[in-house]
Amino acid sequence: MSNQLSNVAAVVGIGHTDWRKDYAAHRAGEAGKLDSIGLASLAFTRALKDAGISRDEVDGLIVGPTTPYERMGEVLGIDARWGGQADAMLAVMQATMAIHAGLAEVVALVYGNNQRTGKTNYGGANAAGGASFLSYVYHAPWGFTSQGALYALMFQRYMEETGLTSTQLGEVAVAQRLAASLNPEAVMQKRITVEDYLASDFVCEPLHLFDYCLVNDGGVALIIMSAERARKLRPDPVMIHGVGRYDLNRGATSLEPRLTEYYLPAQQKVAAQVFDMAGVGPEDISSAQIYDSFSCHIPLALEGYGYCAPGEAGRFMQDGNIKLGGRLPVNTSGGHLSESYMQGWGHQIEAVRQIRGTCGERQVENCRFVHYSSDVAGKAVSIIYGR
Amino acid sequence: MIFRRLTTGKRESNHRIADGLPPSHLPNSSVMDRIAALFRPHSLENGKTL
Repeated sequence: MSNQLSNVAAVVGIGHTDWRKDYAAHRAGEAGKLDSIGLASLAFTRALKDAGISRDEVDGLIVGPTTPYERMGEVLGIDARWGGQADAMLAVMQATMAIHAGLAEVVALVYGNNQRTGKTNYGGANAAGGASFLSYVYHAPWGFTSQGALYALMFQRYMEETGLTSTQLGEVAVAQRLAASLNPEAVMQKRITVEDYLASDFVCEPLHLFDYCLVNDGGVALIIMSAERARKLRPDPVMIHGVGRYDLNRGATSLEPRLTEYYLPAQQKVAAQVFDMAGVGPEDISSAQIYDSFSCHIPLALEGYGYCAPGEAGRFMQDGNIKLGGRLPVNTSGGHLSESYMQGWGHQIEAVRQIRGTCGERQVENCRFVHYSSDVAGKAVSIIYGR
Repeated sequence: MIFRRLTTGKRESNHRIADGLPPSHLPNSSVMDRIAALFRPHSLENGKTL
């Protein structure tokens, strides 16, 4: 397995918007003051400041899927030597590849989304996402117009097959809310118990309200540069040790990979690549940041990446392993469920904060490697960050 | 005048934010941003992941 992309690039700057304050204002009826481009721009200025570099030093630009690339570059004032548009996980991979290929040296990754005040629909007749993933909309005539419904169907079967209980699944929402309660910038900070979880309404059985991600406005940005330059810039660059991707496309529109295999084969393929590239194994990972549009992503990733055996995630979570202080603290910012729904971008900066050791009360002790995992629609992506 | 605003849009809203300055007119005063919002494809506006 190639390790050419290991340790060639590092994160030197991170920034995000004030999503807790903004969410409170929007809940109180205030209109959104910034659109998606403005949110991304604000995050970008903060990431630049964190990196301690000027915008003129940026020669690569990757823009998230919710803002137009050209306009974003125009507003940011960046004429890029290399650029593109990608979701969070692929943006990091593409920046790493561009730097390795010599196509860019300092890449800005920017994302902004005014999904709450912009009234983005994630269900119903005008649900988002169908243009990219046909599996999201093929089953609309039968009532499946939201991702929650699709994941509920998927996880209902998983629970039947493995015996995982609602109480065990509730450990995800409880653990992440505990972490969020120690994160001053998290949108949701009030702690919940498993009893609170079980008493909450189903949105789509077996998924409760607390199994669903938030929908809030915000922006995130990262500055990634060559490892060599990063080491000269600051004492604590966060290195990208490994990246990997594997897509399950065959049978996707019939939901086959989702309903019969829970994306497990894709995650296992990625695990082999990313751990080999980074030269570490699951036992070396200090914390995992797992894409969590719904809580059920977590048990599936725990099994797919070998943190526990297939079918054993329920017990693994019940034993406290994913909580702060446990064997593998997961989504230590609160994740999509409790910190902010930034479509995977927030997970990247939490990985950086944990490696830097700047997370305060929620800091994972001696955090050496952080594993990011995404399994959206059977497209599994992983990144391993470290010192 | 209109052409200048269309082609530059400098010092307004999102441009000011990117320069590290407070927005000038809220929520968004840039002509180009309003045009971009009008013509932004559905898939871009809504994102793709869940």
